[in-house]
Amino acid sequence: MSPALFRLFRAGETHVHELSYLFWECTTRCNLHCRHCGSDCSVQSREKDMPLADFLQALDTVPAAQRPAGFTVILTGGEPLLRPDLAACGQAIRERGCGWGIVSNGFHYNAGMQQRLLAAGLGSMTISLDGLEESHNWMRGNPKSFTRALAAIRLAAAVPRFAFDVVTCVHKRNLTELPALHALLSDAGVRQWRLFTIIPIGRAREDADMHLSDAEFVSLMDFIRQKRRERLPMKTTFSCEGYLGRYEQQVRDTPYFCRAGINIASVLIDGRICACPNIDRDVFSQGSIYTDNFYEVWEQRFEAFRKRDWAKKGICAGCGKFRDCLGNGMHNWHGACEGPLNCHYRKTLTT
Amino acid sequence: MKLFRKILRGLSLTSVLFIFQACYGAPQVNPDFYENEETKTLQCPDDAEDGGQAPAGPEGSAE
Repeated sequence: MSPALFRLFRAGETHVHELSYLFWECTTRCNLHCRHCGSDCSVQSREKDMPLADFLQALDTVPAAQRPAGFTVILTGGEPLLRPDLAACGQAIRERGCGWGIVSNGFHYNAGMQQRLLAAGLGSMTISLDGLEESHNWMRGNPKSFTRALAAIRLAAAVPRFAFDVVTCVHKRNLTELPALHALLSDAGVRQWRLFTIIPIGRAREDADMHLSDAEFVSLMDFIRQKRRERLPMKTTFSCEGYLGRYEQQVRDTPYFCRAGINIASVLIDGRICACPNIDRDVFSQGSIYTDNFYEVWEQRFEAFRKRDWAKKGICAGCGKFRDCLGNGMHNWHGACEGPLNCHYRKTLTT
Repeated sequence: MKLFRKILRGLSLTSVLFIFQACYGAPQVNPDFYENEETKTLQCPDDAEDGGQAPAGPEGSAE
């Protein structure tokens, strides 16, 4: 699709801004202590898990007629498997006609858990695997985490028609492991593998090992492009985290489009309403489920997400790619928002 | 605009444009997942061997 045609499509999507993907940050407790965590989650979170009834009250403000087929609620955290009422949460969401899924580290996912969650309507899941055994365990801060995650991946990959994928945060230590990781996941029966890089927020901010150089980033793009050209049973994809210049449509199925606030909303752990949970909530939250009607907020606010001209500053101010990029993913704007934390396009200019 | 969008959705070549997932989220649920005969049988309450309960102990904790 030509860039001009896609811009037209994107403008239409923005105008309609149909809500079809809702995050629920249902807990900020986590059993692991990952080096790259953007949420600074911990075993003893300061925040209590949000009661299911509070979330349902917000979800119920979305008229059934406004929920498209495939409307999906994603329970995230923290680690959602730590919620003792996870199946009940999913069941209640499912009873409202919505699909639901989780993002998990897989540590506590086993056959019994899978059976229980599928029975409650679990239709989607992402599990993280951040390298081969040594580098994954280093990243996750637990010597058993690789074995447990891989076992979870094998279980989930065997469920037919399940919307399941594995994500890998690519950093300096695991970049050279990607071919071996590809083989491992293929053998495990995985059909979708999604790679992304780490933005300098949370614990990852000061950790130099977490961030690829420009040349390393280009080698990552080349790796993904090559795997896609091979048309293997397992599809390898780069995440939608940023605009990629010459790699657009070569490492993903569709052109770059940050749908935060256009199709994606979130209910955060303290009730704030935002888009993806890794977006700066102090800057971009639009209201609270405890003081506002969730769907009215979705319909009437979110202007910063739908009109992105404000992002023409810093390195974006004079950039000729702005009309395709719109300042990169919203999660790249933090604090005073003087410029994006990452410019993927500039990285791709390295040869 | 919504009608135009529905027509677009109906064209198989363009429907891929509407399928997405947030950067750090899980995939959208396949709309037919809950209706497909192959997967329907997965979605019946059953007694899981270990109950599938959330972990009670500290295993997995890094701290």
